[in-house]
Amino acid sequence: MARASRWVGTAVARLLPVLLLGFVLFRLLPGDPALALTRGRPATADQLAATRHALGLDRPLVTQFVRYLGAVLRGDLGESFEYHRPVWRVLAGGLGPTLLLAGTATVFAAAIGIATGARAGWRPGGRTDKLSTGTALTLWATPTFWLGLVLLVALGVGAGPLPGLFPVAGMRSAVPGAGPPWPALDVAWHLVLPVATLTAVQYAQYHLIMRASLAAQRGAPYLTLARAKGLRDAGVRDRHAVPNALLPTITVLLLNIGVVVSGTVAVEVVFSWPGLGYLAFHALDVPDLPVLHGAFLLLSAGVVTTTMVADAVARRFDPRLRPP
Amino acid sequence: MQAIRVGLGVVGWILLPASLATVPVTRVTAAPARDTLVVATLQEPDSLNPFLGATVAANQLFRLTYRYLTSYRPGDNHPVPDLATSWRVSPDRLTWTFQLREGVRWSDGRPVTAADVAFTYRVVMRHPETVNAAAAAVFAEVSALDPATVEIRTREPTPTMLYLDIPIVPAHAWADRDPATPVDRPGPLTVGSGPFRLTAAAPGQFLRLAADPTYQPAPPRIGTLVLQHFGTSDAAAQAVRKGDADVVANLTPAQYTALGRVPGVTTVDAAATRFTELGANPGAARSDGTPIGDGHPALTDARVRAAIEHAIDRPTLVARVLGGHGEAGAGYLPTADKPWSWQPSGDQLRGYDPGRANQILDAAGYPRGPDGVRARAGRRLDLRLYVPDSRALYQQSATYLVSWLREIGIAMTPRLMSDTQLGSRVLAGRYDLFLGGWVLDPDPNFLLSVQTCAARPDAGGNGSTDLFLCDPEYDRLYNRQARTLDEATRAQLVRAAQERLYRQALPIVLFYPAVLEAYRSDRFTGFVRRPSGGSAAGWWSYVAIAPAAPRSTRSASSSRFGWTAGGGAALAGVLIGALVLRRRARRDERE
Repeated sequence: MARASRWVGTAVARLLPVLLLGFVLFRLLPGDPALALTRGRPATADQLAATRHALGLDRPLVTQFVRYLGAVLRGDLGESFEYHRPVWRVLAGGLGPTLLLAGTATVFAAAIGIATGARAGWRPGGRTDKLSTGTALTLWATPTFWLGLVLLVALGVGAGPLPGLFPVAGMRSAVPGAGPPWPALDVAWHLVLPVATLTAVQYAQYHLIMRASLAAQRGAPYLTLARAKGLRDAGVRDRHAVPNALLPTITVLLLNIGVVVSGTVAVEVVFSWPGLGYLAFHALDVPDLPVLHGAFLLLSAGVVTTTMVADAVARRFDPRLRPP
Repeated sequence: MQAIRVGLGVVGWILLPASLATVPVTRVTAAPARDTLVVATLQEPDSLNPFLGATVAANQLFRLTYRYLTSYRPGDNHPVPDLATSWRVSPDRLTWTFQLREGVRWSDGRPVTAADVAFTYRVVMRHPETVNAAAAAVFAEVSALDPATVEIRTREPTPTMLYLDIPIVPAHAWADRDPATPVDRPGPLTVGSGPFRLTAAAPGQFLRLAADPTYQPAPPRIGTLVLQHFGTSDAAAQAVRKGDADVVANLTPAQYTALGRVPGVTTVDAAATRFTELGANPGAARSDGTPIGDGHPALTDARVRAAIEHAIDRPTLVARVLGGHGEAGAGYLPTADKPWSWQPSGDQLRGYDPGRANQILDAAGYPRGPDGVRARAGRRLDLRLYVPDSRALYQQSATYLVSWLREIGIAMTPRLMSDTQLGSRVLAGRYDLFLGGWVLDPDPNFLLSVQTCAARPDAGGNGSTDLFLCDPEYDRLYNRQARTLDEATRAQLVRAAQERLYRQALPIVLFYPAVLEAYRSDRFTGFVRRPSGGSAAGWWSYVAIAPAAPRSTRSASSSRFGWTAGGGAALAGVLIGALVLRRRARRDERE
């Protein structure tokens, strides 16, 4: 109980400066939301003043922050300037799809990265190592937006003899009848290309970390025992060396979960995936301050939480990290 | 013996998923109906609430799901009956009486009456925060004389009465509701009487509309309309190419050319009612005359602005920046905007003539300095050019402008910024030159109003001015056209007002960019251009098009999924089979 409350206390203490910083930074953004919202439409000066007052923009900055803080503590994130809907509803709509995309991509990236990294690290400098590390780094360096477009054209639309196997946009089929009748399968079908893109550009991290930590394990004495027992080389690697080398990878994985949401913007834009990344990116245009604050808060809370979880998990798995 | 058993196992593992693969192919071959139109959109409605939705996408949606008192004739944007079948104006031009169409019903079955119209307009009159409040600013009173007659009294004569973009909503649904209620799903607050009904809404993804077969005078000839949201125009163009979408607008020249080569796709180079301008700071001031900002003093001189115009080669901009998709412009309202458009005559037009530009600047007292840049009283003609980052054509035009103006001795420093940032700076008067553009409504009133003295900001910084123009003669012409109901007379006044603008070389209109669109003519026919020679991708088409004679259906995409799923299942089956075999072979190695 005491530990739980200490946890919550730490989390809140870490989030408070984030709230303040986010508020200040976004208010410093140039651009007047009232102007942006009425731009191009007949709007009298009175209307602009009324809009500004309705959005609370005509009060001093300190007052605005205090009101914002009070509202957040009550759970009220305000109303979106653009969508005229509560911010939490706007964000909630985007959170699910982004978690699905980022989560699936992280799982695949970690799985592929660990597998290829283990094989590469087992014989560093060998042919497998050069090939797989080279591929991983090339994909890591590839711009996400570009790769997404290439996959969209090649596998979504179809190029030359290759037919377009996957949908080009969205999370679900908009036209009833196009695509599978089962909703979960429909989403999975739409998920293939975005996840492929995100996985391809991300798995290098796990590959490199796995490779490095496995290479460090190679000379360990317990592996000699495993070989003495008669295990094949791959068995020694997979059943003994890899579990011990996995620890840094797990830490990185958990840390990544917090930030990977922000890395999905490019993929969400290319594949029209209705997620948080695209929402926040679009909100910068207005600027839709409540949505930006809310997204910032959400992402920060995510990072704070996953950092604390990563801490606890690492301590559980590695006895050397526990306090004596 | 062992080998035969293993072999049978392998065969079984491959056959099982392969047989499963045939299931999706046969089950899902029911193709989506031929009369489903999929429109690829790049912008979402910001709200499904007709009192709040302000974006172009929202306006398009409301024209499909609601009726208005009047609509627009596609050929020339002339007001035509919609909910109102006829109207007359009193001799003092202040009272309008509209006769409503009989037998119209809301999508929930209840009849549409004059009470609904009166209710809608009263809400707009009483709530200045609603999106159409400015349109109803001159209304004094709205009343329902009988269930089929509406009377509107105005404080001043207003021709805009026939160009009102106010969707008529049902009083029984909105009676006790706050007009600023957020709406993002179909429900009682999306009940309308338009040619389509909203049936499904997935925010950020798509909106699905079903046609109303009882719509008068003519129901839509398609059954379902899907507005699907895309994050980029590249994805939207690819969707049309593949056949997943049927209509796309706002293409880049490269996408337009690429789609033109796809069989079954028709591309449209639409003479749209929009223009791109180079704005200058003529001496920014508030509406009470207090000077604000820091504009370069040289720009207050109309001769300098005229010289700048002479240095610009508009046809080159159209050819290079727009790829030929557009028209060189000079008059404020584009030529496609009939009957309001005005263009300077041959002698009046300040065309590309750097020699003339140099002459004007020399005569105005701006001699060249040692570095070629003109100066006067110690102040160089070194101007800031603000460029919005929203469209590539602004940045590309800026490159040309900088080099052309250098040739006549004006140094220009371009700076890229967001639209809203640029808007804030302009409104504060802290600019020299900027690039911008407008999209026109069928009624020219708003765009003319932004050039009046009254549009300049008040003490609080609120204003709708475009260029801080303040010309009493222009204001006089504007006020007269705003009260002239006779279209021919009004058009004359509007044209005279534009001539006043051109005399002052403000704004310098560069060109009227075309809108590039594409649609699948192999699946739908009957697209309508609005105005003639204009855009085809809009509500005016969707209510008129019909499915084309069937030559190719959309079953391709569902069987595509079938093959993909089948292939994936077979692959998975093979992999699992291989893994199982490996485990069995390695079971001696378990520790």
